[in-house]
Amino acid sequence: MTVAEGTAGPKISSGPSRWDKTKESLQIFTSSRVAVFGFVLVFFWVVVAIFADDCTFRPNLWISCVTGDRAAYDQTTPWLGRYSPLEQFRGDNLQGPSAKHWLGTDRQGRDLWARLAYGSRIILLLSPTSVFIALLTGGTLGVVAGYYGGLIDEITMRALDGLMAFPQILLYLVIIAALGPSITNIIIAIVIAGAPGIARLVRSLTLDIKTRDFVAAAETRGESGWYIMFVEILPNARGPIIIDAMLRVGYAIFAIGTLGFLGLGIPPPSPDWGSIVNQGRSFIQAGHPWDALWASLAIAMLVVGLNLMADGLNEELQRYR
Amino acid sequence: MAKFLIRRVIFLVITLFLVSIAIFAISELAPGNIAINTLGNTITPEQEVSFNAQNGLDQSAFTRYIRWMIGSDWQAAQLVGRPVTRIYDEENDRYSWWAVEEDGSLFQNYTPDGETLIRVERQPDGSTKEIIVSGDVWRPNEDGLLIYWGVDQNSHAAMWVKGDDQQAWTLTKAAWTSQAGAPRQYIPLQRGLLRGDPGISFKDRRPVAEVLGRRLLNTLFLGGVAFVIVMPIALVLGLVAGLNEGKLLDRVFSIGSLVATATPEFASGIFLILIFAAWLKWFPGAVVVTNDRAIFENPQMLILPVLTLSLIELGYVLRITRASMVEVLKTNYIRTAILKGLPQRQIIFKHAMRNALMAPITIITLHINWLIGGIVIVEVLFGFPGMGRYILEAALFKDVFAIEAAAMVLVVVAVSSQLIADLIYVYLNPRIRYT
Repeated sequence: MTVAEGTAGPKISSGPSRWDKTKESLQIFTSSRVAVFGFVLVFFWVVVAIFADDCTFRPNLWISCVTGDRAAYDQTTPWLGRYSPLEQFRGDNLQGPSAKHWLGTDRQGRDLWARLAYGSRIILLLSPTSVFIALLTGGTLGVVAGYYGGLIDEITMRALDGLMAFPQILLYLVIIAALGPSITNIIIAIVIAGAPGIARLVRSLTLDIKTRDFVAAAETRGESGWYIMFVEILPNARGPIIIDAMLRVGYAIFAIGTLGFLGLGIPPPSPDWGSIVNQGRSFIQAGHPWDALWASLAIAMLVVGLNLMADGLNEELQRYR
Repeated sequence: MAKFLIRRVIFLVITLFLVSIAIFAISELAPGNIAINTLGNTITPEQEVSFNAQNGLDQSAFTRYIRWMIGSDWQAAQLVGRPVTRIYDEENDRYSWWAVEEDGSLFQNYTPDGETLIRVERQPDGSTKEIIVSGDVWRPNEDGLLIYWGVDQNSHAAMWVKGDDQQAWTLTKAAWTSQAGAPRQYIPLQRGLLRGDPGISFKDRRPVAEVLGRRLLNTLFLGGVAFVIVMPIALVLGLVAGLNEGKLLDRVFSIGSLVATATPEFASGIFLILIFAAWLKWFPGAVVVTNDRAIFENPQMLILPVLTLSLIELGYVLRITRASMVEVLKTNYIRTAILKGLPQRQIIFKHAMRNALMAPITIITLHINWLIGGIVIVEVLFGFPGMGRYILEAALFKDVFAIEAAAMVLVVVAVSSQLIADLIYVYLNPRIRYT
């Protein structure tokens, strides 16, 4: 296990300012063309998600837009989305791309571009949220297990080993089957599937960092265990954790799409990308591949973009080390 | 080595035990009503109680876990006073439970009115003969009721009470029926997961183990074919990319494999279907199964599923092999070989390749969890009759025992493959053997 050494080193008082450091890290980012390309792919969907309609400026509508609440869409004015994702155009069922409907329409005559644009909100809001919650739970478990060691460590890690023995897809299936498909349950499933991996990473980082002098110094000062874990250890382990979290956002998008595809995603009529593929694939043989094609492309674009970003970043970081 | 093996096997057993508890807890104890999930929300409370009793769902979690694991037939045998056994009736293609008389003959019981007890005896030719039990078979229990424990005709051990005209709702193939003279208590008979019988599917009322075995074979076949095709290609491409580190070829391979691995299986599957089935019309886009052997008779149906599965694995193995090759080429012994003036060919094939292949070969086996995820998607996308689709269908139908069994089988596959990977690694790498 390698630890970001740059972050753990002693700080020089006359070091570069905060702005210089930000610029430097941005340079790391832009010097990798692969990462920039990945960033463009992801940024496209972020922009679409934010400006799909004017509800961006009315935060109370965000959640209901994500859950596919009819009333919420009626109160908004579509911008980039062009239409409401639930509006059904009479007589325009299963059409191919045209000037009126850029990407075509689905079986209920809904505009596919509008559905993709609004669907990006679901996926871009849910995946970071679930990864963040997984980070909180997994991180806490990992740092506690690593710092205290002994029996606590043994019990926690054995239980997490048990969870990690599950193929992830199985965990999703079993949890969603038991709890039923809904936004909360999808987040729960992703947290349960992701937290053990994070805990393991954070534990190994903790084991390494707790031998450092500044931890010993804090202990001598008589700081409490919680202070040492969350103020001394975790901030110094942030490098690998952040890269790992970025990859995990990619996995979470992957998982949300997969759940939607399996029919276990966010229930209709919400414009969930995976569900669009699932419903659209039955029309492929009938000569209407557009639903499945566009939604698959969209999700592939987003996940590949995130992976390229993480990969490029990782490569650059390794070069600097 | 033996000590290492024993320790790993003990850990494996502990892990599987924890996993079984987790699966049981998630699927049976989670909020949600199995009776309503299975039968729909139009059932009456009486029907629900009856369903729960007949399927053992009214028992405590501990009892249910024990029965799921090691079966209930031994409990039933104590109460009935005779061993109970399961037989397979080939003519009607169904399984049934019977109590075994001392002379080896099989019998079941029922009572039409709560007074007369009928004994159904199975004849050697498979037919049954009903006789009214004469003499006093009712025994008093602690509450002073006269009871009789026997095996009923629906695979339960059942307790009848004399003079009782309790009604029971049972779901037969046709509809709900209510019958009088029903037992007060049931023990659903099963042998238990550890003895190869994880229960009866709520969906088709057949033993889960029966379908599961067939589906597992299909899945192993699909995964195996993909594995055999993809491994040599991925290893060779990975070595080539590693040898050309930093050059255009390497960039193309690396980014191509990243895209292939990162794209969700269902998306790449859809792309392949659109290109090869809908547009070029080269291969069928779905697996249509008319009988058990259909997938072996029409191998062209398997091309697209295998291709989809391979794409993901190809990318992953390629990346690992490339990284391993790059690392090996930087080692001192390769530098020595170069400085010594050995020919390029000899350096690559004799010194670099063998060491570079060690990491991917062991890591591939660790990757099996990922492969399982891919298999579920591919099976659903192409309609392939394997484990993955089975578990999804069970999950959608909330077929609890089927989910539990399939989940356990997949976890066993995953965990034991990890053990094998560890063993291979220890074998190949003597440095960690004795630590």
